[in-house]
Amino acid sequence: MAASLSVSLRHRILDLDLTLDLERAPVTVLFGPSGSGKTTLLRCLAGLDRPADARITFGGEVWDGPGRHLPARRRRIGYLFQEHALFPHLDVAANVGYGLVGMRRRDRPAAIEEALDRAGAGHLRDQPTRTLSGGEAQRVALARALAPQPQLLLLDEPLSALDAPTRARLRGQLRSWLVAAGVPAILVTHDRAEAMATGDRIAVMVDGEVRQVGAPAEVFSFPSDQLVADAVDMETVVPGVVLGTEQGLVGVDVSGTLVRAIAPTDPPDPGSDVLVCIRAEEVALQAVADHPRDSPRNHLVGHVRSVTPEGPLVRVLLDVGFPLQAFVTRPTRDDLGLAAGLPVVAAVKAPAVHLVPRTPA
Amino acid sequence: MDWQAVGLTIRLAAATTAVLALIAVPLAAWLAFTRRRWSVVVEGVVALPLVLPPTVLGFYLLVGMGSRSPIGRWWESLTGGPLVFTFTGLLVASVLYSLPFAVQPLVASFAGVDPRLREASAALGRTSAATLARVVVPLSKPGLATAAVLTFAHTVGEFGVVLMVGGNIAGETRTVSISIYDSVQALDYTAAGTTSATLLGFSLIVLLLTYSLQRRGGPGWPRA
Repeated sequence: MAASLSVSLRHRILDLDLTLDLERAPVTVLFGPSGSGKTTLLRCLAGLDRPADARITFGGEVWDGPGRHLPARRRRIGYLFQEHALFPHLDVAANVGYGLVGMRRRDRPAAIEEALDRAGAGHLRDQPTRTLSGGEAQRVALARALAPQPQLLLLDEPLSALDAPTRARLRGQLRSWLVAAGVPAILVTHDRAEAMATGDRIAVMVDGEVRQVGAPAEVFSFPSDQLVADAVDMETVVPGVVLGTEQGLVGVDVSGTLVRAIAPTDPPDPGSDVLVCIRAEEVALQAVADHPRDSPRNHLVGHVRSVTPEGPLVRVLLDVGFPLQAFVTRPTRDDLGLAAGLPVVAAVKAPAVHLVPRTPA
Repeated sequence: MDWQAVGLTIRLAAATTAVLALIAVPLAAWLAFTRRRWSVVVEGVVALPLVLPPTVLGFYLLVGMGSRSPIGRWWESLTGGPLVFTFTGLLVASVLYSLPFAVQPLVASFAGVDPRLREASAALGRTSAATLARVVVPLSKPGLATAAVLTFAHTVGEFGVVLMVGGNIAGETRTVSISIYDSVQALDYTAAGTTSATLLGFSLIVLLLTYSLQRRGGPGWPRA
């Protein structure tokens, strides 16, 4: 089945055109800040919202168009709600069997069993829904959505209702479940770790528009514009002016400091305004005494402004002529004795410096 | 005690509750879930018996169902007998008169069901009717109980509509409240007193039942 989804939609804040080949990249993540319209888009795809101006086609089937709105029940989709939305008056098996419309009654128990097993929830079959933990409810909801063998799975922040340890555990499993199910999926999230762990492709949404579509690494490290850079929480985004291009490297003047980036195929003109984007995890810190001067690296001399522990890493704010953020491990912090005021050298490889066009203010 | 009237009243109340269960559930579901603006009009019409004097409603029903009206004539051609001043005519009147007491608790109760559960049902391929039967109604049990109790009790207590449409025919349309009125007219205060006390006790029990149901989480005292 050639699964491709084509959307052209103007509804509430949404104003977007999007085409997804769901065969080559089965799991698509809609990523963006809250209020960017991700959930509204998902609801339109499901047929739960009825947009006035929309054209949505899936495969050869028109779901929305002029004078046409295929109701949700006839789209053969699976929908996972943020809070699971299990039927509280039915037990687990009845929930999973709920969507088996038209299946012969005697075939249902086997189908329910299979769906539960695939979601790793076979042992929960006879439990009442109320007694399930968050993670268990999530598995049952997934089994319920997959049991009727939908042609498309839509997931609205599937892990957000869970406590942090459960979320971390399921984050790793979610992708393997989705791939094993063999059903193309579109997942909404604002969690970067979830997006990177789950998606074959990320579509970044800002203010009701899809601004960039690409592989996770590409989107998160090489945003196409400033809005996307903000949406993917790029740690360092500073304005600069292009000096020139030589030997495949673009030189950029950032507040008096020279930063070099790999030149794109179409290098920016000297004098043009750009934004310099650098991921904090791409910045390596060294003591001032022992820094080598190998060429493709930028060696930015400056000092530490602040050191903040953040989960497993430590966030270091530097002043290298412009504000630069770095993530280091705790041993690195201790070895270098990082503290406010300490002079350091920040090493950033040229390929890790990403330039985005800037419209001067 | 006019036991015949008691029996008739219970029969009427039970039949009214049964008929309203069939009418009020889909009507309440439509009112609770529709996005059409003119549903306000329907809501208003359904609520009319709450504010209309029963005699006014009774008058229009008398005219509307009488032998000279299209409905009355159609009924007569169908059954050979008149609709007004019969038990069936009384039942029709009771159903209309008690409609808001059944519909309003149900609307409140249905609207309280998490909309995502209805959406989940739709996404799983179920029609609105199936969703109503399998999800909304099972999750609205307190509201259903409130609606049934209120309808039953309201029918037991009605007077004006019964007098206008049913008259006072023993075993056919004479309900308990008509019987009390009858006794008072005949200056038989003992009979009127006994029947009134019975009705008072009944009403009190019904209200206690309703309130205890509501305390268990069922919404739905009628919004006048």
